[in-house]
Amino acid sequence: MIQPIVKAEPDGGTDWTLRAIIALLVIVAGWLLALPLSSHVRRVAMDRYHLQSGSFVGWAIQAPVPAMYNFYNRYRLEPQPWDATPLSRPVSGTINHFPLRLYTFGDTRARLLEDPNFRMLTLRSDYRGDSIATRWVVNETADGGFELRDELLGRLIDGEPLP
Amino acid sequence: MTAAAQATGRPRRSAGAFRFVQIALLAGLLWKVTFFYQATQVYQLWPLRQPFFPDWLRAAETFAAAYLVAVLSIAATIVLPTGRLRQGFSWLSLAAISLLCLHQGSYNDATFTTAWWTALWSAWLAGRLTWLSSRSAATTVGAPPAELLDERLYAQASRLAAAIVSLILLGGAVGKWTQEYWSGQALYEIYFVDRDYWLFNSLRSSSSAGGLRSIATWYSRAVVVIETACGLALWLLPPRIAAMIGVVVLTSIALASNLYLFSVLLGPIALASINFGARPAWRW
Repeated sequence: MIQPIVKAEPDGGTDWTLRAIIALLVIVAGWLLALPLSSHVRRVAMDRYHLQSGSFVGWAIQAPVPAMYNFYNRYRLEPQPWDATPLSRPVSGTINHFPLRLYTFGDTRARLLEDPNFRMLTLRSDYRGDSIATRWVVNETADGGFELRDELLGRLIDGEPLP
Repeated sequence: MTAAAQATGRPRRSAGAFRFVQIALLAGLLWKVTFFYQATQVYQLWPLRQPFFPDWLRAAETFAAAYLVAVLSIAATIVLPTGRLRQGFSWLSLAAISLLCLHQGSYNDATFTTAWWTALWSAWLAGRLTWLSSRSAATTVGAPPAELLDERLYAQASRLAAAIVSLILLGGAVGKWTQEYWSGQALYEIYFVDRDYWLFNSLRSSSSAGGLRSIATWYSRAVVVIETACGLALWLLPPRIAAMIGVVVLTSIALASNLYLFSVLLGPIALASINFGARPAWRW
């Protein structure tokens, strides 16, 4: 059998994909290591956890950044004020990451949306003295579905309240 | 073996590592398949409007399709021979997992973050294997023998894998460099108070309240120190030592906290494992 003869590329040519992946690794590692050092990075990372990034794209490009069990994330579930009764009892706790997942992820979505006692969620994340707090309310829509609205209660970065 | 025979050899070791990681990646995605099936039903029955997400990234259909495409394309990379088709499926799986990282119903699940990095490694390696295989089919003048190129590729793949595992652990570590984890308060409240898992059930039944809190402190400090050390240094270690430490640490994280975490960790465990086959003499 006649085999084609090709001129060798000594090391297979430049592997641009590998270089790009290594560059991405370096950028993400640098970003992670800057978290305790930079108030800007902390604000962006904490906004990411609470879906408070300025834009969806700004939030989405952080998707490759691993952030498992980051920050001290606490929540309180309760009825909206006009649904509360003397028997209503808030449920509070600590959650590992991306605390809004209580409303959005898996079967807890069904349990919480269906129960008027849990249609207001207050979240707070703390990290090295910084914090962010948000409040989320669930409303039924005219077509029988549900809508989630949020309110930024406050940020504290480097001891300063930020808008 | 003559140089000509070597030149027509296939990249067996690198291809074996590729398939091994694909099987683990697939197993990781399927680890919670029942949960994801039920989640799809929930997303269909309880759609949740949220202005932050584009409509199509809230749709149950998008979630289900992306999950199915990811699973099927990874399965295809396991059964297909080296070539452009397999390379295409590898990139397709990365695209599908990217969607899952952004979907309202799955963005929070670290399963898809670690799967994304594993799929990125896979797509790169699938491309290199395709190049190496096509090169091996030709008689190449003046090039290193195929076995040598296979070794070089395996070395690159294993070092890149170790770097990815380090990054994943670093991501977990830096967010815990805070007083609430060093004191153990955060993990005490997440796991020790009422988590129904054999380790925590056993500790609750055998410890006083103060003792349990103290155990939580040392458990949490161990997590912070080990994740930090591995995140900073695993990629610098000799390959086989990195493999051993990586596999032990990642497996321990799941066994000591939550078996569901194997969905997150099977991919990284496989990436760490391939360093067992790397030869220490090789460099980038």
